[in-house]
Formats: sequence, C-alpha cells, structure tokens
Amino acid sequence: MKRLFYLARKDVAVLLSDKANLFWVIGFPVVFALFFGLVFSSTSGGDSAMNMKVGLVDLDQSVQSRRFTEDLGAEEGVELIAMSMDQARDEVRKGKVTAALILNENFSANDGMGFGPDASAMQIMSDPSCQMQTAYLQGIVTKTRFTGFRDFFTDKERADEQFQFWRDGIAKDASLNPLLRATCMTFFDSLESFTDQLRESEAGAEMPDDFMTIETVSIQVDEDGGDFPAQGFQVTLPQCILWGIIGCVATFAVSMVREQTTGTFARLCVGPVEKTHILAGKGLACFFTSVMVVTFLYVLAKLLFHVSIGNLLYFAVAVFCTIFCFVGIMMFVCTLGRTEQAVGAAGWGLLMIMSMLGGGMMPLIFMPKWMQDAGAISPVKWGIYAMEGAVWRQFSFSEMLVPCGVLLGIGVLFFAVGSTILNRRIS
Amino acid sequence: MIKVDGLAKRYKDVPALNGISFEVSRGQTFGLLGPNGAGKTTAISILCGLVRADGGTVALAGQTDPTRPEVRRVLGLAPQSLAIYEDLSAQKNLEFFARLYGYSGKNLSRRVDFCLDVAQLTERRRHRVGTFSGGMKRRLNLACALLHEPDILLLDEPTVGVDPQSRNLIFDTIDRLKEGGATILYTTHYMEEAERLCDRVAIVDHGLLLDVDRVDALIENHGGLSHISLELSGPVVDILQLKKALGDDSLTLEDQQLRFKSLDPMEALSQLQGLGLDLHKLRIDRASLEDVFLNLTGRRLRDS
Ligand SMILES: Nc1ncnc2c1ncn2[C@@H]1O[C@H](COP(=O)(O)OP(=O)(O)OP(=O)(O)O)[C@@H](O)[C@H]1O
Ligand SMILES: [Mg+2]
Repeated sequence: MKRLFYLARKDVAVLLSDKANLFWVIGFPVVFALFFGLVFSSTSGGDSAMNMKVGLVDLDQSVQSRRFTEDLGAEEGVELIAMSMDQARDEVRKGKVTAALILNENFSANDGMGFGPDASAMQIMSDPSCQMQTAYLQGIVTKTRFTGFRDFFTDKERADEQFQFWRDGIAKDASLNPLLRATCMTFFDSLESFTDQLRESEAGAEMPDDFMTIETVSIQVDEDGGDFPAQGFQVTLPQCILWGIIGCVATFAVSMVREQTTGTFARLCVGPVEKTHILAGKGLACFFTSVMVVTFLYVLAKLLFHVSIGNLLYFAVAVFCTIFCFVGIMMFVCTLGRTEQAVGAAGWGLLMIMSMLGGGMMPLIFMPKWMQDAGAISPVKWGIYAMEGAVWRQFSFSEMLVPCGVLLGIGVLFFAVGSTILNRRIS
Repeated sequence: MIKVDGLAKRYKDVPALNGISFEVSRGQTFGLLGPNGAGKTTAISILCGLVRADGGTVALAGQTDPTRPEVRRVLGLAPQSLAIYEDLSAQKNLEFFARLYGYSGKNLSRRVDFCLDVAQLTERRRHRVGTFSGGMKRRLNLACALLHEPDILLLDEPTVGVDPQSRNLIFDTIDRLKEGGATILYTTHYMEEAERLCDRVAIVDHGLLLDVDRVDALIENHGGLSHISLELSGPVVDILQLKKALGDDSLTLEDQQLRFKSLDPMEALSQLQGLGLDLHKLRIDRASLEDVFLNLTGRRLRDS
C-alpha cells in the first residue's frame, strides 16, 4: 500500500515538474471557463448580466407609449436608445444594439396598455443569433406591461390619465351612436369609482402586491425555471472542471506510455513492485491530481466569480464519480498507441469527441435535440449533468443516482478493458 | 549464481535467441559480447523476468522464477534504455527507487548518498536529470541498480554513448563491485570492455552462443597468430633458415626489419635467440577478441 502511495506521489511530482502539463490541467480549463463564463453570463441574464442595449422606435408618440417607455427604461438590465425605424434596422443588423422594440402607431389606440388583440401594436426586431437576449427582452416587456396594468389600479394619477384617454376617444369617435356613447361613459364612471374605492380599501392596498407576486414568479420562471442557471459561471464551472479532468487524463495516459517506452517500467518491474501496482499507482495519481485540480478550480470559481453551488455534498459526489469515470478512461486511452505521440494524439482525439458530443465545448442546452440525445453516449455529458444537478439543477438524491451510476459504470468498463489490454501487453 | 540453459526466443519472424546456455558462478563477472541485434538485451530481459522465453530455463540464485520476491531482492538491473525520470532530480530518482525497496529514514539517505557518490553526482544531486549529459545519465542509471545492494547485477551496455571520463568512472565502479563480491552479467559490443572487466566472456551472434571461456583462452583458441615485428642488429641470417625455424612462410626481411606471425610469440623469440641473433626494437601485436570474433563469424565486430 505504501508502495502504491510512493508510485502515485512520484507520478504527481513528474507531472507538476512539467510546465506544459500544468497548462493542460489548470491553465486551459480556466481560460475555457473564463471565456464561456463571460459569454453565458451575458446571455442568460443572470446577476452579472450586462446592460442590454435596445433600440426604441416610438411611432405612437402617445402618453401611453411614453409612459411604457419610461417604465421599461426603469427596468434593470435594459438600456433604451430612442431611434428611427431605419436606424433601428441598421443598428440591429450591425449588432450595435441587441434588439429593437417598435411601438407602432396603434399602440395606444389598441389598448393603451399593450393588452389589445392586435399583436402588431408592439414588435421586437432582433438578430436571430440573439434568441436568448430576445427572450429575455420579451420577459421584461411582459413584466412592464403587468406593472402598467397594476398601476392603473393603484396610481390615481395614472388611472385618471387612462380614463381621460378613453373618454376622449369615445367623445371623438363620430361613428358611435349616442346611446352606446352614453353607456360607455357610464361604464367608465362606475369603473373609475370602483377603482377609487379599491385603492382606498384594504384589499386595494394588498392587491398590487398580489399582482407583483404573480408577476415576479412568472419572470423568475423565465430566468431560472430549471432550464436556465442564474449565473453564467454556474454553467461553465462543470465544463471547466471537466476540461481539467480531461487534461489530467491525457497527460497521465502519455506518462504511462512514457514509462513503458523508457526503461523505468522495466526497473519498476524488476524491483519489488507488481505490474498491477504500477497501473494502480498511475490511476491513483491521476485521481489525486484531478482532485487537486478540481479543488483549485472550485476555489477559483468561488473567490473570483462567487459561483454558488446548490448542494455542496452532491457536488463532491458528482466530482468523485466523474473523476472515477475518467481515471478508467485514462487506463483505456493509454492502450491506444505504443508511443507518446500516438497516445497523445489518439487520446486527445477521443476525449475531444466525447467532449463535443457531451457538451464539454458548447453546453447541451444550446444544442439541437438530436445532439442532446446523442450526447448520452458520452461520459462528458453525464459528468457535466451530475455536476449541474448539484450546482443549479437542484437534483434530488434519486435524480443524482442516475448520472452518478452511469459514470461509475462507464469508469469500471473502461478500467477493465484498459487494464486487461495493458496487462496483456506488458507480460 | 546464474544459470541459463537452451534459451530461445522469437519475435514474430525474427529469431532473437537460438538456444544459448551459460553459467556464471558467484563473484564472477561474465561478459556477453556481440554486435547489435545479437540478442544480448533479450537474454537479460528473460533473465529478470520481463520477457517470457519460448524455450529453455533460467535459474537465478537457485530460483527458476525470476519474478519471485526473493530473487528481486538480490537482483539489480541497469537497463540499456535509461531507466530514470528525466523530470525529477538525481536525488529524487534515487529516493523514489530506494523507497520502493523499503528503505526509509537514515538507511535511505545513507544509500542515496552512497549511490550519488558512486555516480559522482553529489554536487548535482538537486538538478533535473533532463539537464544531465549522456554520461551523467548513464552513471545515474547504473547507480539506481546498486541502491538495494544486490548480489546479482545485470548491466546492459552500461557504457553505451558515454565520454571516456564517464566510462572510466563506470569501470572503477564495476571494479569496486567485483571486489565487493557481486556477480555481474555485463553485455557490451566493445571487446576492450569485455577484456578489461570480464572474467569470462561469451561471444554471441544472431542469437547463437559461439563460444564461452576466459578471455585469454578464447584468444588462444580462436584468436589466431600474433604479429611480431623486430629490428635485427648484427649480421643477417639466411631468410630460408628463419622461415624454417619460425614455421612462417610469409615471413619478410627488409633492411634489418623482420616481420612474421606466430601462435606463440615467446617461443618464437627464444628460437630467434637460439640462432644467435641480436634483437632490437621488438613489437608484438597479440591476437584480440576482435580476431576471435573475426575468426568465429568471418565478420569484424565493429562492422556488423
Ligand atoms: N520487442 C521486440 N519486438 C520485435 N523484435 C525485437 C524486440 N526486441 C528485440 N527484437 C529483435 O530481436 C533481436 C535481438 O535484439 P536485442 O535487443 O536482444 O539485441 P542486442 O544484442 O541487445 O542489440 P543491441 O546491441 O543493439 O542492444 C533483434 O533482431 C531485434 O530486432
Ligand atoms: Mg541491447
């Protein structure tokens, strides 16, 4: 057992003495996570969302449109820039603004609050590559509409303004017959006194809160209703960790072959070390290095990006299973060739394919359905899935069992195949 | 101590060993001399249990299975391909291997210091092996084999590709080991090394053992004639008489310079003295292992 430890410690020392190895196990994953982390935090609209620039084309120029614009502009994360229609089209095309919101001439006439039957009253013009941002903008617009609707009941000035607008409209409309006009006016009068009473009553004071509650829930579903993590770096942490583990696997697979091609393997075998010890020592070293790398990445994520982890215990379990699985894969990878170059190339190739299929490069949620399904054959997918389950998917214990079980299974399988081939080769 | 009997090994269609047998007794230094591809490394690998033989048996310290722990304890190997970690320092390398052999604490540092001294690397103990010269790496490679004070040493071309200085250092080390009573199997394709170090030498070629004996006996049996040249002073004798006396028809005599070949140069010289010749400036080129190899295979060792 002691010998196993010495073997593993030597392997770790050899790995750490080479700067190139350090880059693959730590540098690359961090760069990767930083890059995609920044990308996702700007698209998923989380805590650290940048200000989304939105062009505003107000063709209606009414009290309602101005009030709506004001409300929308007060929302966090949206910066409105007034512009003409042509300008908006041009700036969206060039990507200077993420999207443009168009309030058509019929905006106020339609319903004044954006609830009318005519969908063309309000339009969003966006770059097709920014669907995420567009969805986010739609969410905010919806929220603003609800806020406006709530204010109608709670804000006297606002209600007065709206009633005045409706009354003016009825008065101006010559096509209306006098009886209908009088009925409408009476309806508005009673509605006005009802809202006045509502405002003064206890119920009225509480009502806006109810509206807000419903409203808050609906927006939150948009933002992190299970399909979306709240922070960009929550998406990239599992990926980053996976790249770190992949780096360890590739470097250890190469070091295993190096051991065989140089005389050291012969020396170890002639010494008091069993061949299985040497294999196990490599596995152990790969495991420990991966744990060290993951810990380092975790601390980095915690300190620099304040990434919050839903369930730390589950996270540790997910990491353990993932590393176990990839140590097994390492045993297999080092049988893919007989020279360092061959194993290096074949190993990275295999791991890249696994990573590509499994969402190690681009998160699966951004991939078409069929690719998400195909990803199930990749251990990278299960590793990321298990870690996501702990970080932001809020998996229950039984939900964690599936990916963790799959990971352990794949690990055992690869380990068995790899060590069988290796054992045959070295004897 | 080492006994090899009818060892055979094929790699696919390449026959590496064709049934070789030899025996090395305790405290002896035994040389396996042969050109590239003769099967030296293959023989060593089988001896230490790294490669399985197709036929034949080996026995080390009385055990037929070299992978047994009792054998491993007494067996030290310096492989032909460097068996050290380039990314670690000389000291870390030695410490690692010593720990595997169960050394720790004071014993460990004593052995490590000893081996660093043997390899004359004490000053560079903390330097990465990757920065060492070829000779230094070879010295360390040998030193690693000595860590656990083994009784049997298998040294596979321990001087390949080293400078004369390192070579002499390695020779000194082996001399010390011999004095210490170690049994050494030494492979090389340098006949000078075999002559200098080995008590007995086996000549191998194409997986066959051509002969095995003491160096002088090999030369006597297969080396052929020695070349003798000398300058005569005083009156010159009849050349025919000389040819007859020395039994060499190719004898030449030009300007007092006499050249001839003889199986036994000492005997020839006393014959010349018996003829009353005054000898002057004598030179004898004795047959070497090179001639032995040439006579046994029809090829020169260096050319093959
Ligand atoms: N692993 C192997 N696979 C195939 N052929 C091999 C293998 N090892 C050795 N051989 C062949 O067996 C023969 C003997 O090789 P070996 O290495 O024993 O020679 P050697 O005497 O040590 O030569 P050198 O002086 O070059 O080290 C050679 O023809 C070599 O090509
Ligand atoms: Mg060899």
